[in-house]
Amino acid sequence: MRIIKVQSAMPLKQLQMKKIEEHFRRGKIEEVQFEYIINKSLLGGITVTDGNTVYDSSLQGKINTIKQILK
Amino acid sequence: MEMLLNTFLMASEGGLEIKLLEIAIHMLNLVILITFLKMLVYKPTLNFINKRKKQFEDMIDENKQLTAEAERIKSSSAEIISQARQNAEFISLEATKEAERKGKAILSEAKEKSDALVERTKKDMQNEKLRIEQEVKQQVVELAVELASKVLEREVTQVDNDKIIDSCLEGWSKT
Repeated sequence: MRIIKVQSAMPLKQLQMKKIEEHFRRGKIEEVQFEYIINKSLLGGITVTDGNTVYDSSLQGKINTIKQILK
Repeated sequence: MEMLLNTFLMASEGGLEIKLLEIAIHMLNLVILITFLKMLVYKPTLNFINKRKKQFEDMIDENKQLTAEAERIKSSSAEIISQARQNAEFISLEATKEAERKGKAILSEAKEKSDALVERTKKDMQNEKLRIEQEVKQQVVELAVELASKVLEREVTQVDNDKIIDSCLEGWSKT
């Protein structure tokens, strides 16, 4: 079974969870289980960890990107 | 001789009693005396004088030779001294030139080293300046990011969060 971790700064709405699960179940044969975690350090948005792949749409991630560009 | 004979004849006729034999004997004695004097006194004396004269002449010649030799040595010495002076001047001149050349070489090398040191120092200073600039920039970025994080942490609301998430999901749905 595949476990996908979803982190957000604030609790997600049901609709949001549904859309996330629909997107990440697409094209997968095996059963997928989602784990929702509250991580205030993200400041806003979400990050999704699917195996070794991380989808970062958090504010903290964007700040880190800006930081790298400015270096 | 004829007059002398006539005189003797006149004197004997006049009664002067001149005895020719005695005169002849005296004359013979005189001749013998002169001969002996010549042999025993004159010739030795003359030889002695000639010998002394020869000695003096030899001494004079030797003196002339020594004088000439002394002059020759003197002129030779003068020439040697002159040559030695010229050599000394030449050596002194060459030494001076060599010293000047070495001095210039040392100055040139010192200048090169000095220029290289200045150049290296300039580069070091430039590198240090760049490093400090980079460090300051990084610190500014860090500070700005931290401030932004603090502001966002305080200001982002649930509504803002929902907008961000919905925007993200919309983007994923299009892929």
